Amino acid sequence: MFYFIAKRTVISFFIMFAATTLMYFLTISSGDPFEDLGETSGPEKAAIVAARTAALNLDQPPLMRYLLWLQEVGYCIVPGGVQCTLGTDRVGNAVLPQLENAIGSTFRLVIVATVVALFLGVLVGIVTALRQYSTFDYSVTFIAFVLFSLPLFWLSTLLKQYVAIDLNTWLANPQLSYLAIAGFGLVAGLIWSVVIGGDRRRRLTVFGTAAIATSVTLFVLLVTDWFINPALGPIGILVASAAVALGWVALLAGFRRRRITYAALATAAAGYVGYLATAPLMTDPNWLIVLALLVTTILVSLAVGTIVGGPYAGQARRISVVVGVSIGLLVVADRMLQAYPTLSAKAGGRPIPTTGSESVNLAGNFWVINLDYALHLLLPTMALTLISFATYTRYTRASQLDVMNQDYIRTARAKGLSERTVLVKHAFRNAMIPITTLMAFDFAGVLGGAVITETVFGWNGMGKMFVDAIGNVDPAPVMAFFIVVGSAAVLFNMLADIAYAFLDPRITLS
Amino acid sequence: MRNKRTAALAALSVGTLMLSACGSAGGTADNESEATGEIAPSITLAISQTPDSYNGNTANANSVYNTYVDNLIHSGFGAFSPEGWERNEEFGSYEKTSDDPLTVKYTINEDAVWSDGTAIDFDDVLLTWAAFSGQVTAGEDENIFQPSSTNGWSQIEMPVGDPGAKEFELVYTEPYADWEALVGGFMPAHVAAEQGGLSPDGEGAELVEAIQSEDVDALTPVAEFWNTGWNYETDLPSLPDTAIIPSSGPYKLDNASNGTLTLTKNEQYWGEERAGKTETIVYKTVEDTEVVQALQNGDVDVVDPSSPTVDTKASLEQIGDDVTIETGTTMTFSHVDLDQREGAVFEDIKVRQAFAKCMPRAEMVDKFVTPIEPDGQVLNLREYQPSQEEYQTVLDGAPSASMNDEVDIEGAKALLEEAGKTEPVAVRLMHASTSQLRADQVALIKNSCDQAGFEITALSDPEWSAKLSEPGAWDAVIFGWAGSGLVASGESIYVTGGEQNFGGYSDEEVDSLWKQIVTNTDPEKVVELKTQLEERLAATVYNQVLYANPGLIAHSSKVEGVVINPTQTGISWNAYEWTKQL
Repeated sequence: MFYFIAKRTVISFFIMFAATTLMYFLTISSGDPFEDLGETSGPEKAAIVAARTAALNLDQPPLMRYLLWLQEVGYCIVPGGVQCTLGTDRVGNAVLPQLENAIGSTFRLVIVATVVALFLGVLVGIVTALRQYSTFDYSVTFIAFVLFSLPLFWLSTLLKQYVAIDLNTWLANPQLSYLAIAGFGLVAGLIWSVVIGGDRRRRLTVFGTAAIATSVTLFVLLVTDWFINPALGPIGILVASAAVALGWVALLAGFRRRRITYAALATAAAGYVGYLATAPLMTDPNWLIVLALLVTTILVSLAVGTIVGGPYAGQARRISVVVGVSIGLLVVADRMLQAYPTLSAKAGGRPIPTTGSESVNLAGNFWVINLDYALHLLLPTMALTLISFATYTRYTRASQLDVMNQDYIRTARAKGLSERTVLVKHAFRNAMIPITTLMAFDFAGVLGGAVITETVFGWNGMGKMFVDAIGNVDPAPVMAFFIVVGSAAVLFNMLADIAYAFLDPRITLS
Repeated sequence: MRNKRTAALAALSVGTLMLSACGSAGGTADNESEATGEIAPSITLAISQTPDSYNGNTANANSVYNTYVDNLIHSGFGAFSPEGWERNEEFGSYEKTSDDPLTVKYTINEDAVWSDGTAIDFDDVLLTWAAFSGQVTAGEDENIFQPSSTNGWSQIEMPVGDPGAKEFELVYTEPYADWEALVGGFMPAHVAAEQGGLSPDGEGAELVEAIQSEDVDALTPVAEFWNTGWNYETDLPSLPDTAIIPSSGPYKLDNASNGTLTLTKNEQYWGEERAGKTETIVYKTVEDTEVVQALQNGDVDVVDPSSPTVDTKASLEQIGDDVTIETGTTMTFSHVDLDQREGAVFEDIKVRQAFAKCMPRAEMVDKFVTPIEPDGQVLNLREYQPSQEEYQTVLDGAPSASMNDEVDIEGAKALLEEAGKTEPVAVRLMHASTSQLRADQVALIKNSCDQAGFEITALSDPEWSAKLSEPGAWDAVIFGWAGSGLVASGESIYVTGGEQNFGGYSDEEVDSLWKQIVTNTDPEKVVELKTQLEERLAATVYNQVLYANPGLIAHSSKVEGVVINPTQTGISWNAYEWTKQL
């Protein structure tokens, strides 16, 4: 293991070194660093040319410039004396602070999108695998490929039009005709009926129930002005908590073992009491309080699981924690919704922005500020998710189908295990192995940012830094980007290999 | 069974449709808020690049995006408004007291102070002179300051005065035509002094003393601060300490985050006419392609796209009454330069004239200008644009300039024949490879001029701007010049051996006219000289000018006071007057 890591590190170092050399010379020969001055006349031009020449060392031959850049990198690796800047960009600003900002921004933008895409993709992938060659399967395949082949700038334009501009206008005076309400109901019914599947009779029942439930909910929300003053409220949280508890049990354990169901319900009850008790604390908390409450929730859930779970304490603990954290998320969602009217008023009645990463000069409490962040994330996250959704669904579907045809699944079924246990315990876990590799590469890619998304939605992240610098033929920021992304790729590649060895006993590292 | 179900479903659908006819759920009765007459506390302006420095006078930070902010945080003796140079009496006054040597007496308003309370006075002026004059040098002529240009200031003698003085006199060693617009760009000397290790006390006496005694050692840290100390971090994640960036204008810098810059009203601003009307002005960095939707969604209130296209205008118009669009022509103009060195294709004036005759300028205006700016027209002058009042006067005085208003293929053929060209004349016409607009225009030129006996090859080049100064790399090139409204700035384009005289044009009369122009301080005389210049440039076909590029701004109809400004001062020139209805 140690030998493997050491060997990989040494090899990676030389790969990175060779790659930076190539990248540097490609960058500096990619264009004319003075292109933007082509239409400038007058005496200022000479001064800018001189200043830029000095900042980019353009009076030196390319090889010298590369060595000077290596020297700057050296300052960052070898401690002592000279400040680590990773070089200067074309106006003479240090690159390192720019890189730090860009990484921070990119993390916020891309991590959420990657996690959402991963979650939805894996979920839908598994369902399509279970309903192979069904209407649902074909529809998802069709939608996934349509989304995958959409150009991002066009998708983002559509999102801005419908999810920001039109939705904002609608939110200012939320109303729907009865036809529209019925329409939404029909669409929801259709989706649910194909997802749940079954025979004709069951489909029609599902269709009817879902359609009516959706329409009625929409109608009630509309007439109670929920879209103007949204919140779950104490009753909503109570109902949702119970539903969440039962839902997780149904999905992860089934109702055969009563103790587990009781444990989940007890956790839900404890969570609800906690929600009522911490209400004053949660009116304007900070991250520390939220984190402390999360830790408390997990501890309490563990305790409840252990006590109520009895003989199945292990499984009950896991499910309790999942239920506890889910209720915590419900409470956070409730608070965010409650902050909505304030934020909407501050945003001039148009809460969903099309550009930028935060509202400036927004004075508000914890929830208002975080809701603002969330709303700024909404459009770019949707754009990124929709596009990477396809990869995850297709991979998961293929992987799950592959596993479902294995002998050990047949064996598990033959043993008389319930279908849920076969799926969750035997199939899902094994299907996740190839997805892990995909995830490792994806998270390495996260650092590279999302070039078009960042530009289109006005985020100053890694992708934008890279593209701007390439456009300016400005090597230092390009190389800083490259070092980070290249190192991440190399590192995550190695981690994926190590993870493989752990996940699959047939693989060894030596 | 099946039939029954289908029938039931059909009945259900019909029922729903019937229901739909009678109304909808939700909605509030009084959603249309009446105009309350109150004004909004904040107006947001979209800019396409992030400002990068508080000091936009350095070579590195001399960009229009810094100017957008400077308009509100720095005051001077005047600025370019849409009507031309306009004095700013609130900051101070000036008058020319002598023509030989050119001497101008300046008086700064008694009440003028920086937003930290320090008076704006002689040390600020002297620091500006030190920074721009290029006369404070270390060793062999190495300027310790990095100003955007030393033009003009290098001809001014060191101003004489005492610390704290509000009046000063600038004496020019030789006359300078643009003396009015030259003096400005005052930075807070007390901040520079303190950051450079000098005492800011006694109205900056130490700094004044150091400059007057040419104490380069003491000034070097001050110069270093002046050069880079006021720069913002790239992409503006935050502002430097607001103590080192005081304002002398109606607004002051307040905060920045992620490329968005907020200015608030400067409580110390002494004037009335230019005092800010809206509490905060926010500059938000938005890509040009995204501004339309940002404006429609109310994320920004005012947009000034840097190169608007016909599509930009169309999509703005689609938004409807909520958005007001203003169009005009900018100071930037498109033109075709010709290589007329010895042995080059356009050495013979007849070939140049023939090329000018076949240039489809009216067609270009119809395709690329009037869809945006309906009043756009073919441009015939080089030093004046149609947006300036002098344009018509000068055009009337320079008959050669209007010679080629119509495409004249036959005339061009005849001229080529006279020049003895029997074979088609091969012309490599270079343009920026990144610009579809230019590529389309080259196609139009080829279409027209190939009929007249030219054979045009488009030369699409990503490094076109570097190749401009490479003799022989091209025969003709199409690009734009950013005009400035200044008298002397065009000199290097037209004089023999000028830095931007890429085609190698040389004409004694033009050279001597420029010599007179740049040292002339009488605006009327300048117009007269430039009329002769235009006539000569047109008669000898220096190049072929095409049109003044169209400009466009748009703003939410709730915002009042926004006026398009074709000069480099930009849209924010009068932002202190803007108000937005709630």
